[in-house]
Amino acid sequence: MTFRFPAAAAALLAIGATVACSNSSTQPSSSTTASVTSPANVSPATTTKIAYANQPVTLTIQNAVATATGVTYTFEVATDPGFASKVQSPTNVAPGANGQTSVALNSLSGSTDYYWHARASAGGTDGPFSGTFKFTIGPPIIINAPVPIGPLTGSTTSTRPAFRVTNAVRTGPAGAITYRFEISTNASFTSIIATGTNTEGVNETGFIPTSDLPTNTTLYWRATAIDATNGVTSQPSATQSFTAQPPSQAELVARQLGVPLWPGVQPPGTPGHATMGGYWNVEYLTSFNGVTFLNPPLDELQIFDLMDRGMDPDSAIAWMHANGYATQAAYYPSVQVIGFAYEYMALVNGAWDLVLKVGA
Amino acid sequence: MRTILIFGAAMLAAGGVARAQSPAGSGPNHGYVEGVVQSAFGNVTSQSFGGEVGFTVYPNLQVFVDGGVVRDAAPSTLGANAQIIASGVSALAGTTTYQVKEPVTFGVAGLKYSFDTGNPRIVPYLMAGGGAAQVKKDVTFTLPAGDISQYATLGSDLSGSETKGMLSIGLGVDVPLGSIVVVDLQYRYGRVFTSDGLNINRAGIGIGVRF
Repeated sequence: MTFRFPAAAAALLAIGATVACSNSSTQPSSSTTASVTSPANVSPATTTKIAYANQPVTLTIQNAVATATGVTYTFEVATDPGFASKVQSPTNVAPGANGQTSVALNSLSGSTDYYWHARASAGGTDGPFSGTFKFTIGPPIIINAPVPIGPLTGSTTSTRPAFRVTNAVRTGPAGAITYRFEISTNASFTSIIATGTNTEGVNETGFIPTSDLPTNTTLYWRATAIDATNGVTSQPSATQSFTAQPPSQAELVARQLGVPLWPGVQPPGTPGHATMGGYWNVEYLTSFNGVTFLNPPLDELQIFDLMDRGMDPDSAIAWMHANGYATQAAYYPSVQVIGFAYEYMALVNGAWDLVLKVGA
Repeated sequence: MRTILIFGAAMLAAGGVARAQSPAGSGPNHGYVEGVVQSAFGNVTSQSFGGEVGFTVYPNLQVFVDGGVVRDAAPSTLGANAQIIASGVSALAGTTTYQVKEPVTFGVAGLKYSFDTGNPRIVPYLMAGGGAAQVKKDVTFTLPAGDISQYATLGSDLSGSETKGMLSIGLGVDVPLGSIVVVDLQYRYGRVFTSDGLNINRAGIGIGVRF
């Protein structure tokens, strides 16, 4: 058998060898588009209600998968489930770590329902959007700063004065409000020496420190209204400065009674103008008409304190009435005696003594 | 393109030096027609069916037309990409399975040269040609509920079809059975110029008649 291998056959073999040796496996090309799945919504879960103050809202998804690298995400937020009225649409969001991707939204309007979804894109393909979730932003709640009543800037106070503010003006459905009082040695409140939180009172709210404040040094105080339920906090009240003086004679007795001498309006003046005489001991006494009472009654201490601050008896009584402090005091100038319910306060040898009444 | 030009130049050169020989084998040799059954192999092994017809234009040189279907020529990347998407969809919709196939329908024409071995019972040949092939990405996903389109967008890497040029070369041995029937033991290599490129190897047997 003669086998002839002409040039044509050789050429066919050479060409075939060249073709067969090249491109022996399939290679992806740039013209091929990738396949992409949808991401899965993680948070906020659908129908979540978010307080207005708890913004910005962060949307989180479980990452999609794709047959190409370079995945990016598009989020859409709208006020309708059909996404015809989009309010925000972050795009080209890079994948996050740990298989999830998050994006923080800009502030949204309150009292509004929002719908959101997301999709992935990679290799020239936009994947399908994830399912639609809904969340609601609550109404905006605004709490204005409370207004200080006293002690106001420049005041001289006792070592445990009553700090008082008018209740904060608020808009929206605010919850229960508390007030945090802060007393500091500087106006920037970087050194807080006393603080307390009280629930809101009627028209005003106050705080009395439970320990003596430093005396003869300028102190600062402010109050902040807090709606803990909705996470809303007001701006602090205007800072006020004051100076605490050592406790007056009347204040020391009031402490023994376990009551603040001036729980409301702080009286003006500086103690040192009167002398406390005898029978101011804290004890139970029985009146002429058989009533047992704790001596000395608070209004007697208060009248004395006002006189200690420089007021005359009539002025002291008038000040009490004008500033919401109850008293039955009546001054008898001819005998320099102030009458109370069960006792007299008499000026004896320059000091004010307490004398138990023997009759009406 | 350059490969096709090289092929054409080689054919012209071969025609210039081809000897004027009598057609290989005895019996009529104006042409032939045959049906072929092949095993297609590569990343996956499948079956191929087709037919071939040839016309003698010169001693030992025939023009042929070859067409057929390869049931599955899927490359490894097709299954790998389907696996990625199936795993992603499983996390969204529950356990998702997939099936991949890449059927190819082709048609080529070219030249076939038969060698004169001096033994009419064994006629080896070489052939080369060009044509076109339609390659379809047949990928299906099975989900517990719903449709794949709810959870994934399939790109051209997992869907669609494309029709591209195809280069085919082959070799084999014609074994005449009598004067008319011919058994063709053959191997074919095809290169389809899809966006990812596809190689197809086929080996099989053809039964035909000469006329």
